[in-house]
Amino acid sequence: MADCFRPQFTGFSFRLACKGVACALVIGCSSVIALADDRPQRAGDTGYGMALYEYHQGNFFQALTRLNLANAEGGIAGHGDHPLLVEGGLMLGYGMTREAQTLFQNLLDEADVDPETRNQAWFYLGKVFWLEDDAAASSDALERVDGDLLEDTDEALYHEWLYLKGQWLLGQNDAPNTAGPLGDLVEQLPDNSPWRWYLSYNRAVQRLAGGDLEGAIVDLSDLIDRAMPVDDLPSATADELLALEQQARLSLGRLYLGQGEFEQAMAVLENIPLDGMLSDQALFDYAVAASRHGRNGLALQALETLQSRPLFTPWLQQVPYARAFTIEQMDQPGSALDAYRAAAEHYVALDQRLSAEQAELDEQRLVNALAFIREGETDQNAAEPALGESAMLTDSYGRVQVRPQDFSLAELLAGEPFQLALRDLHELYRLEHSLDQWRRQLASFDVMLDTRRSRRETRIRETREALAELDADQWIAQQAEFRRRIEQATDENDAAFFMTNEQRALKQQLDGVEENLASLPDDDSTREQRRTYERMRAYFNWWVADEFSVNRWAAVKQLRELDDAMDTFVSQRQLMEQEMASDARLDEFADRIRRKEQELAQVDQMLDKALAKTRQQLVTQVQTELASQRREIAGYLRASRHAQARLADQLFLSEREANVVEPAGTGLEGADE
Amino acid sequence: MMMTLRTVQRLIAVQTLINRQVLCFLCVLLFSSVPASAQDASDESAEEGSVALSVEELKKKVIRLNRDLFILEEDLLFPASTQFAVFLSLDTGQFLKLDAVKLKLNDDTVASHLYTDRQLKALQRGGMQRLHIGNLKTGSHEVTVFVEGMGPDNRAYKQAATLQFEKGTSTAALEVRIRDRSSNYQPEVAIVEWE
Repeated sequence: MADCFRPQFTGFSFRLACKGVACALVIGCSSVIALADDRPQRAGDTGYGMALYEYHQGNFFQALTRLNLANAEGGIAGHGDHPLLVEGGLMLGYGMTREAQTLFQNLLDEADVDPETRNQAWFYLGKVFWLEDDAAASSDALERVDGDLLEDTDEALYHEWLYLKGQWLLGQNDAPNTAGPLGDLVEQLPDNSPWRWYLSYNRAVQRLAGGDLEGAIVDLSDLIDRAMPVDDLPSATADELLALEQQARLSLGRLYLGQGEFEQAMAVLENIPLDGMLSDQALFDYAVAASRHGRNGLALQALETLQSRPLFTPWLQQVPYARAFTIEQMDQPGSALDAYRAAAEHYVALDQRLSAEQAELDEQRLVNALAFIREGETDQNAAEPALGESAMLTDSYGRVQVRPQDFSLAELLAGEPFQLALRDLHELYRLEHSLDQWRRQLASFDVMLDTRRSRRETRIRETREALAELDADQWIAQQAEFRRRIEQATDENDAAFFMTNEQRALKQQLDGVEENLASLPDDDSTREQRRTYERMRAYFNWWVADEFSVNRWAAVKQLRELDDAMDTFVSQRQLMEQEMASDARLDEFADRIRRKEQELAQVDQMLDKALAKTRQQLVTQVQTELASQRREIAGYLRASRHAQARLADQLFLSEREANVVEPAGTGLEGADE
Repeated sequence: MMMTLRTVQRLIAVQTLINRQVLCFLCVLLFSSVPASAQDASDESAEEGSVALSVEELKKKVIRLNRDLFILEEDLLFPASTQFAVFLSLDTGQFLKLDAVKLKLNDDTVASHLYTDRQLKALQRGGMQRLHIGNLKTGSHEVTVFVEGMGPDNRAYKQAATLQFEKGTSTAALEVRIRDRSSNYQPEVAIVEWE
């Protein structure tokens, strides 16, 4: 029973893996589609806008960092809970399914989430559980999705939802009860939707697994009949449909083959193009069908075509043996013996190569056996990108776009565990590069802080020198002296002290006149002048006394202004002294840098461990694969040698029989042959 | 949803099992591989799970660290009082295929960028590019942006926009906004201030 279910399970796993690209693209598209029906809405928050910019380029790590940054700097305004859906989608794409699960669950626990977002969160949660292989939880979450609302909000998500529900029904392995609902789901999907094709195909695989061969044939035939002309499809899905159509033909051909309907099998397989992606399998199956149908010439022709191609995948290694077998079936023992001998030599050489590869396998050799693809790369001679390089092309789930350069890895490379481990290794190298950059950046911050400290010290020294030159303490003493004298003059009502400049000039003139008059004789010629002087002096004294209050007020006002200026000067000076005495801001930065350097070192250690584990995982997978291939090749080799020995015996015996019979004939003719 | 060789290889992998069943008549002896025991498979799966878990945990830590380091970098290099940033958004698609942008601040070129298809798509889907971040003192400044691309009817398109603005004591952010103008079927380039 287990074997019966295995192909179907593998089919489902494959389907899910294959749709990985599409799934994440749909998440990507839907996030934006949900912002507006027809075209994207402008980001209302620069942090969110930058996150979307990275997100839509597939830079999940940078996008998640940007979202984290925006959240740390006060959150994202104006987009409701939508950024959370985007973050969850990013986490799914970045392989953080557990974090995505927590995020969607937290979102659903919130009370004030709008119905559309809640609905999509249920969908994504269902998808997370599906990716985690928790079918029951996935079904529970998907059942909570309001299909009509999802269809109105985002049609692409709605189609994926139908597909996931269909997949769940298929997983129940209860064909009699699930056939009806499953058929309804398929019918709800539009003809040109890839989800419909995959669901239909998987239904056929399930029927096959359940022993319903007729049903599987009907489903596959229907899928082939419904295949739309590639020109009528969007370019994004045309290739996918073409591949699925060929896959359906191959599967149908194999079903006919299994049922012994060889002619029909050949007719179906003939329609798979020779330059198509599945032509190797089709040719081999065609050879099998032709051989079983007694048309060994056609079978050999197909096998010869295969033999002329590079035997790229491990399963194709059976071609040399099958070719020899077919020649034997054509009753050509001599040629068959040569073919078996060639097959055995091929297997020996292959085993030696695999053995050497196994012995020398390390990460570098493994990476050398893979051809990575760089974004927008058209030059075949361009240097290959290395793991961890950001320009390396990845799918929407972060899996690197890679082709095997060594055929022995082809099948392993197609498997999900290897893909995931390779993705992890690539991501870990990217993280390592990112941490390296930060390490350099932090070192430059250290240099920067040192420079700032040094410049600060220079400025402090210059400031101190400038202050010393200004002799600021003397200013304060002078201010105190001014105050004392003004107060004293006020107390003594010393009008002369508060005289204005004009009054002082006049007083000086009067004093000069008085001095001149004193030196002149006191007679009639000077009497009139003395009287004039006394009148002027009397007027001057009255004027000074009269303006005493005004002048005193002006002096006090100036003193207050001086006080204020001196207060400002003193407080600024104190502040400057404080600044000069303490490095608080620079110290805080230095502290933050030191803490981040410590964190960086811790994460580095974790990264090294994770890298070592992932490397080991990959190498172990390859070792296991190579060992398995060697076992298979040993089987082919054994069979080839057995057949070789058998045919050699057979030829020897028939030759001997011919020699024994010969004496009864002409005798000499047999010896010549 | 491009069909890559990897997808094809997966198709191959899926069918291999069926293949092997069908082809037994040819080489029964050949399929002698020994299946791994259930215990081995379980250990392997647990090991894979633990690696995946530690990788996920590590990613989470690095994202947080990355965030903190970005904040530290901004605080250190671009303090809020002098920070000045220019963003670019694209609300267009019909009338302009953006090729390049050059940004001048007070007659000095501070940023220039050539766009890849992937970056353009990201902008068209609502993304916002930070074209420039730096420090600027308070006072009056002038920023000019030069936009080049393919305009309507596949004609080379060039346009510039200028904005005089006052930089205060808090962070200043401008946005170069390129959008379709349906009134004259031309793209429009404007620089707006973020509050």
